[in-house]
Amino acid sequence: MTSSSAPSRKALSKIATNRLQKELVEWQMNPPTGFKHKVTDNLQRWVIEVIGAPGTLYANDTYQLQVDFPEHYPMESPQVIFLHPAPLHPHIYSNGHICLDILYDSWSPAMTVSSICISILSMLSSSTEKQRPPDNDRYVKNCKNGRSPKETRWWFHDDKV
Amino acid sequence: MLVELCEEAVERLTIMNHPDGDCPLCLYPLFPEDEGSKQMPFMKLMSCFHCFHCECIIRWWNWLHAQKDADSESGDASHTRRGSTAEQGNSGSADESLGNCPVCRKIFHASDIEHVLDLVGTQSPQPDSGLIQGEEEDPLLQSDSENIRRERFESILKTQEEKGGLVQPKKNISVVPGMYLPPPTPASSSPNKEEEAGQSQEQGEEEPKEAESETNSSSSANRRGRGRGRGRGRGHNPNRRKQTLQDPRKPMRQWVQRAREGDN
Ligand SMILES: [Zn+2]
Ligand SMILES: [Zn+2]
Repeated sequence: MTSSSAPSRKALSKIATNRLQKELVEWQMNPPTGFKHKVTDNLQRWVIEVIGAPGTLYANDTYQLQVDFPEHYPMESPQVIFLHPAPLHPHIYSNGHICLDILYDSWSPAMTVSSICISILSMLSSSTEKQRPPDNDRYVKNCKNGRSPKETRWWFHDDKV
Repeated sequence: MLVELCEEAVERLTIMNHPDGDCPLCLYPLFPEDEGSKQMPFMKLMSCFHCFHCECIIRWWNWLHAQKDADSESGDASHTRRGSTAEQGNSGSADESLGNCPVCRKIFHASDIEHVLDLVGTQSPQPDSGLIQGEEEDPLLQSDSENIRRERFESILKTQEEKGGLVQPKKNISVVPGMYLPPPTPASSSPNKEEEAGQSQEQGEEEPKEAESETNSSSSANRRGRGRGRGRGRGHNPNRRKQTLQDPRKPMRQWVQRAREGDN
């Protein structure tokens, strides 16, 4: 699943295009709270603004998510990263990679950009400390050359956040 | 109290699974309201009642198994990690007869979609005839290797069925929430006829929808009775708890919370 699904520049399949157009229309009619899709003409890469939820450590902070869709979306998960500067969070690396299982092994084609966004916001909201993951430096060093987080061997050992 | 909860749950689930909704995979309506749109056949997974276009769920099924095949063939290190986290829910990698519902991850069996595979098989005998409609460019469903894989799979399934080797968990002890489970009546008991009629009427409440979707997708009506009402939520792999909780679209969550309230 992973090695073949690096953010290659392969064009979206027809199925992927149809599905994304549908998602875009639905997003425009009913965007998830706290998110703004930055309008471009690129269906294959969405840039989404995230506003930290009120009452959380990230209240009023603004971040940007970049979502790249593979040829066979939604069978394959999109690549989702935070653009610089990524929020300080125990599951978010300074290079923007996010340790969140639904983005990798637990992806399901019934998930949408909108549901991903909600999961990410909920992950932010439940954090109790603004901190990098303990292995941040090691991980980021190993990710040189713009490696996709989808090639990472993730271990989802923390159930709390 | 429990019965009320169950009834409400059935109601909610019924609404959620209403075929008027969209296919969770392509997001297009299962039942297009405007006449212009082409009606695509859809089906319902009997283990969880989630509905999909036939071609959409089959695409997922094939993708799942193509991934599995690739994993087991390559033995690539980058894949081995999945054995420890997510893979259990998908498979038990050797088992080709299992898939999981894209919406709730509940495991379903090859037999749940087998009738649709048949449908596809009969509709597109030639590899290039365009599966059901407009999917000519989908190489996954059309490729020779996929056709071979499917044939091989179907023959295995048949063998398994013949030998009684298919494990179909919980079917025999399933209770449809809010419904009365008829005791196994001995075949000879004619005085019970009326009572039986009453029961089947009661069960009939949920029948029409299923019949509708079943006939829309295939003719194998006999599968309907067997699978109906297998417990919802049971059979979720506990290892997937975290993952399922993070799916905001997942109906189980509501059900679990309500059940907890009710138990107090
Ligand atoms: Zn569909
Ligand atoms: Zn389901």
